[in-house]
Amino acid sequence: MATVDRGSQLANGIVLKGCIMKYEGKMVHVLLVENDLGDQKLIRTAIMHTDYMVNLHVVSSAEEAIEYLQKGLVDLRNYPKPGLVLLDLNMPGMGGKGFLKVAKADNNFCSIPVVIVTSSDLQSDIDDCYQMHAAGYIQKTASPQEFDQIIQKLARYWFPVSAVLNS
Amino acid sequence: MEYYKAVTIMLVEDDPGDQKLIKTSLREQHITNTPVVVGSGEEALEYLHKTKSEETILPDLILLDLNMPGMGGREFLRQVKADTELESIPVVVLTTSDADRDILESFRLQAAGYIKKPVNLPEFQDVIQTLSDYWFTICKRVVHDPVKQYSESFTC
Repeated sequence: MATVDRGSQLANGIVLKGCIMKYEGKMVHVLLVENDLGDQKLIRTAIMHTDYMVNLHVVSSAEEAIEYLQKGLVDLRNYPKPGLVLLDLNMPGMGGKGFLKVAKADNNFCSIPVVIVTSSDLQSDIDDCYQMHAAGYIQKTASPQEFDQIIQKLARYWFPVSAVLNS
Repeated sequence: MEYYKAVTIMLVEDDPGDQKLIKTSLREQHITNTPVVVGSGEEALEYLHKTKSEETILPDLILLDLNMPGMGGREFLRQVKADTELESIPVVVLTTSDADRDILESFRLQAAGYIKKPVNLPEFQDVIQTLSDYWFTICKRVVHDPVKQYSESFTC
């Protein structure tokens, strides 16, 4: 089940400092794949503090994430294509690596950047995810303030281009 | 004494003016003073294959122009991502184009970011700071350094 969250202030047609390209205030669709409710809240809150218009679609497992993407092929209105996936690794079922493997092997979804957001700092997890073409690997932190800063940096790097990718 | 992050960056860029701007930005943002700079996709692949065969340090990140004479950025990206020993290196496209088709094609080929080249040094520095904040501050990275890997595997 996808829940929709409208984030933050509209940065309409302005060039944000350090922006990787001009951001024209377009909606950025982000798919969050995270089973932990506390972490969902942490990420949702941090995204709401960024300077971008964001629709955050939240699912709780890799299987639900694949179902969301597949539904988007026939019902883009209710399941908009994400311009970025934020993916937890350790979840029941096929898990984050399973999702990454399936998504990157599918021509319909392989162009969506997938950034890992996990508590794991195992080098083998890091290596595996980059080998499967993850577009970043971020370790969750316990402090919401610190996590806010991390998401600010992620947003500046990804959201302007994600707004193009989900159109 | 200047502090630089311990990172290796490869810049694949044919334009000497852009090479200079990017190198200056990397230096002044204290990211690296010594990027590997090559002027074409062929040269970049040659460097990477030589690095692999000599078991020296692969780059932590590749900054890639799209439009270059000979092998362009797209073909280079395709070949890197098809090579099991190179595919884990993040490749970030850095180009003058912000055409949707170039952005979509780059991500289809598994680029790990897309930056439209700014037109002046202050803007270049801001963008390089954004790049550095993401890849070298918040992201965990693959350890390509065989010496570092060796020493880490023997850490008690």
